[in-house]
Amino acid sequence: MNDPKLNSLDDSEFDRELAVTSRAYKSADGELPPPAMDDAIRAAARRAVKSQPHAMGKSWIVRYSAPLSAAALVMLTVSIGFIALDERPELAPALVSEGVRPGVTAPASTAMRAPETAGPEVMQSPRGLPAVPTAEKKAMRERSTNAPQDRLVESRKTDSVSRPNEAAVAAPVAALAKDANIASALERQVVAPAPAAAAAPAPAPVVKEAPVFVADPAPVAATRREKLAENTALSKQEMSQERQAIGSIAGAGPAAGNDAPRPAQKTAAQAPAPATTAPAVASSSAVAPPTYAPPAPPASMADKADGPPEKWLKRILELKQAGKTREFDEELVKFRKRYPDYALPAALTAQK
Amino acid sequence: MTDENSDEALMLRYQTGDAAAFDELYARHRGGLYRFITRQCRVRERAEEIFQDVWMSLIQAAERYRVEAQFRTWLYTMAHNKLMDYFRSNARAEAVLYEVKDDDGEVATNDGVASRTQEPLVQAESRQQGEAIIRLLTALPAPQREAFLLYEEGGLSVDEIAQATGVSFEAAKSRLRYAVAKLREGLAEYV
Repeated sequence: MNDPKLNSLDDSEFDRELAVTSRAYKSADGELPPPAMDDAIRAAARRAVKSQPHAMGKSWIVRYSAPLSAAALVMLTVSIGFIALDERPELAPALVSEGVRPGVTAPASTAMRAPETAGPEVMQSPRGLPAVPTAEKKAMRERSTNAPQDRLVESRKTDSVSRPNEAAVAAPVAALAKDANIASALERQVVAPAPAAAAAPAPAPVVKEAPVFVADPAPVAATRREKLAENTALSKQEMSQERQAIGSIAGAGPAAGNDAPRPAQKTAAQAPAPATTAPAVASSSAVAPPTYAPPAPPASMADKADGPPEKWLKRILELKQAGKTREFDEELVKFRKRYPDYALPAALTAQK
Repeated sequence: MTDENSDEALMLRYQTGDAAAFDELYARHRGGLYRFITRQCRVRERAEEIFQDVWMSLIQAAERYRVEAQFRTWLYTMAHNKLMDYFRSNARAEAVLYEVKDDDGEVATNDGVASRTQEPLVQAESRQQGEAIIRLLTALPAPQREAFLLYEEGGLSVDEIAQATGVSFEAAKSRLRYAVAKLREGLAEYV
């Protein structure tokens, strides 16, 4: 500022000057707009409000954008959660234990896990085997295609800790995976125990098991391979034993049909058999030739079944031998419906 | 004044369709804005036209109004812009004065306070002090007059004056200081 007078004014002095000037200014006449102009402006303001009531306010998009966004986010989260549960049922053990989604996510049931470990061979349903329902086939196919091999190995690893019975059966599958023929045969074994395992209640620790994503370390894998080899040998022994047992039943002809004590003894021996013996029986049927190898029914059917077809046939044979022809016929019809392609033993067909 | 009755709240209410809120806003600011315009634009009819234009602009802009500054700053900024448009098209001499760089407080020598012999106030010493200051105000350079009127009629602070007129804080303060000094000097002879 060049004006010395103005420069000399400090703020307090300036404020005083301003106050005096303001008083003088306020003493002047306060001019106001003409009333007609006031009316015109107010009328224009009202017209604007009435003509565009929505335009004056916020649009609905602005008003509802926040709640809509929140709702969409929640929906998206829930959808992704359900998709994740469908694809990785082991992620939601708590839900399964509460029975929220037992049909889809139950990881504890061996029957539900069986298709995943069985691989594509189970899906192909060779001739002479009962057809798997379409919905279950689809679900099984999805699981088998979605689950990578290492995930299978890891899930087996966790299973081996909590479920020794299943691990003993599933382990040879991984160990002998190099040999395709043996592997496919053994994988059928894994499918076979489904009914028995499904009937048995799932153990609690299995339900609460946590998913394992870590890769299998080499030393652990080596020891596991050894165990698998041992288990495989054991399974083979069991298979041969069971094959002999079933062969004796199936091979019972008309002459043997009169030999009542033998099947009766066999029935008595097998009737109270615990669920843990069921895999062995089924595995023998899986390794046997196709005519002898009825695949295990899917879990849902197995729940309703009277047991493995061999047992059923034995019971039918008993009915026949006891002379209960009507019941014998009914049971045979039921059996035929259930296993239309199953080759009946000569003892039944010969006298029919 | 509570928040509910603040200018900004009234404007938001008008935005949502409350015509009464506009009436209240208009009643608050009609006098000050009218005087702010008529004391800068010497043609009364034109001043009234500008006054009406400002309010019409406000009505049209109500839909887009956001509380980002004081309502009165927004209102007087619109009025300033309308006046500048008027000066540019009709009173070029006054518009030039706004373009003078006086950020450092310097003003052209011919824009200084009118001498007593040049002022009508000299010939009418019997008039009241209020009339005198109006005349002194008329004699002020347009930017200084505007700064003073924004302070008095609009009730804006120096910072808000700077905001409304688009100049720096220092320039706005300088304009106001010059205006007050000149008015005080002119009034001294009538007090």
